[in-house]
Amino acid sequence: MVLLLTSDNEMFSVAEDVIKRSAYIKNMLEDVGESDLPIPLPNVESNVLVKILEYCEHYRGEPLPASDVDPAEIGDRSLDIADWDQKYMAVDQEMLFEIILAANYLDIKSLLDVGCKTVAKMMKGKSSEEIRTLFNIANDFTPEEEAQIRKENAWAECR
Amino acid sequence: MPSANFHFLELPVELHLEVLSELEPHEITHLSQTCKSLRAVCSIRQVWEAALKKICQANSIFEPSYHPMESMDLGDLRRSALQPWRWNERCLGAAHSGSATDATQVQEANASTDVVLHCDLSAAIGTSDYLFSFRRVHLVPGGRYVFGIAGHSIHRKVLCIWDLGPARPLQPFTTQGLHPILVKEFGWHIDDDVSEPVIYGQCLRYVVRSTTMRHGSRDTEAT
Repeated sequence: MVLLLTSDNEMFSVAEDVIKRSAYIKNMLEDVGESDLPIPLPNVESNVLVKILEYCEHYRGEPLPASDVDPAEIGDRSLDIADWDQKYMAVDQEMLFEIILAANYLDIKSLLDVGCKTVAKMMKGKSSEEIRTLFNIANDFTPEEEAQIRKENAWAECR
Repeated sequence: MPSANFHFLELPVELHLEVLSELEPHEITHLSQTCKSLRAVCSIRQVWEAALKKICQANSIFEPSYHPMESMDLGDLRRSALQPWRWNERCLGAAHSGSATDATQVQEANASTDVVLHCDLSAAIGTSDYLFSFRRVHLVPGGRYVFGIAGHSIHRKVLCIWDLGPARPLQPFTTQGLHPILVKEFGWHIDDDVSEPVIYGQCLRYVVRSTTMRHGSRDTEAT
């Protein structure tokens, strides 16, 4: 078992083959070897780690993706997301971004991919104004910048 | 790490780039128009190089058509990456507008390979009665030129190349929309079933087979 200590000081005891989906932890275990000391995760809160572990549990036993493989070469460039992953990602935006951040920090490439695809999918077919509403982004362009943007994009606009 | 109302904008740039790599070029454009910080992210060169590479893959455009990609400026990269989308939108715009014109009109448009172009070439050829239907038109590698072969009788065929222009406002096909820059008449009968365009080196090779057993080929230089 591996001990993990989250930023809010909660201790988790996790099976090694579950948490090894995180390349960060996997490398650390290989470097440090057996240890009773908990691994501190100062960038991950317990509620996010619970969610991350749910993902790792689900894919427990599936082969770990080989490192050093360029995802572009695998050819999976579509936004298709597996059913289970879609349900897993059906969380509020805040949690979605936390998962992406944690997946990046823990180096869980497949989870990072699914997270980014989920965000990309949310933007599909949306205008700039709709994206602002979606992510609660304030339009901070000056009128001059707006005019400049319109000019730059005039050729690409349609209908 | 911020936890209260954690926001898309608070993701680090590297993760914004990850998300951008999943977007289509026109979606990147939409995102770049939301606010200053995302506009800055969307102006990073590698975003558009990746987008253009992806577009080449998706549209079977021979990537070295753009070589060297490193020498293209950001504007060129953006325009090139957006070109196939723009072409598609243009066709769809025309198909939906229902504006019948006597010159050029698209009747169906789902994808660039599925466009029927009706084009009055009387001005180009110098006779009336030259309304051609281009059943299959193809985006030439490079994304700027469109190429099609059509004919209204067995012995009269015409090869046309249209220039989408480097930076023209997107409009549906109208009289002003697209003018062929090259019109060439020839007299073979083309068997549509065996005439397929192939990306060949830096050319789009369109091999046609004539029923009189004469073989001909047309190479269109990619620009």
